[in-house]
Amino acid sequence: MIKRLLILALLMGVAAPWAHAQESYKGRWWRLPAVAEKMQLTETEIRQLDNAFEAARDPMIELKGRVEIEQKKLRALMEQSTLDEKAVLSQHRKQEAARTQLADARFAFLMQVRKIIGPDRFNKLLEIRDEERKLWNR
Amino acid sequence: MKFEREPHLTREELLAAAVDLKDIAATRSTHLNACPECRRRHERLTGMLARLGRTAQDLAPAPSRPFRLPESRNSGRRLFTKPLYLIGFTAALLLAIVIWQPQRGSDPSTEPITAAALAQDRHLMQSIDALVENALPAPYQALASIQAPQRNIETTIEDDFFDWIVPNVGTETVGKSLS
Repeated sequence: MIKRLLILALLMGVAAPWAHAQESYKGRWWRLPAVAEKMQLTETEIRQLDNAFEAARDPMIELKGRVEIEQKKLRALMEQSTLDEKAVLSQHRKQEAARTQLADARFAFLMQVRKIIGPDRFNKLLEIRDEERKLWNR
Repeated sequence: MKFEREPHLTREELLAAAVDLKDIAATRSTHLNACPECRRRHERLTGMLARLGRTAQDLAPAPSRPFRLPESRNSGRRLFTKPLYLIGFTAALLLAIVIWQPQRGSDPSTEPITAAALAQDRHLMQSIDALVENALPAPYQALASIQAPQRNIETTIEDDFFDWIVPNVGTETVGKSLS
């Protein structure tokens, strides 16, 4: 029993950092030491990226909620036995307008990232992305 | 002579004159100067007092350390200079704290972020990406994709870039890591 527990603990000890590495790959990429090192990000820049993300997060959450509301309205119209085509199209436009606003907010954050790291390192980020893509496609 | 007609100085007058000649009347002072008897008594008295002072000085123990008489608390200068000094010191201290505080705020060291917070942000961005990619209600997405034309392979930099930063759920790339 003790032996099993020890093996389980060992596996958990190995798995936990691995799982963390897998999860932390997405989202705040600047928090990944490998990316931060490749990009030569300073501590100040990492913090600026954090601040930019935190500033963009709340508006994005709000806009995301708006899209989801419009989605639900559209679905409700689509589920009616008699299809009101005009109302459905109108609602679809509203949903798309909300989606565009969300996309704009997301893109505004991307511009903030570019402003913080500068054009050269922004291109470097694209290069890193391409390198990673080649690795994935092997 | 005139002083011979005047009475000699009394004991009290001699004592007063020994302290200060101005303490006795001008006429008595003139008499003291002119009368040999009174002058002799005056000199003997002052000499005796001087010797007494020297003896007291010789016999008194020397102070272990110099001392000063306390200044009057009513001194106007002391009353105002000390609070001003304290106010100045406090103001300087506050100024230093105010100046130091923003520098502390700009300390470049980043605070660690918990794995839970990172995961939360990751899920948020994933769901945002999914919505931006296709905002149709979930049941209609698959239906729409059947009828929709093939998506152009050349995606925009924006979409492509976000796909890399926040890969979609379920893709093969999830397990890969940067190394």
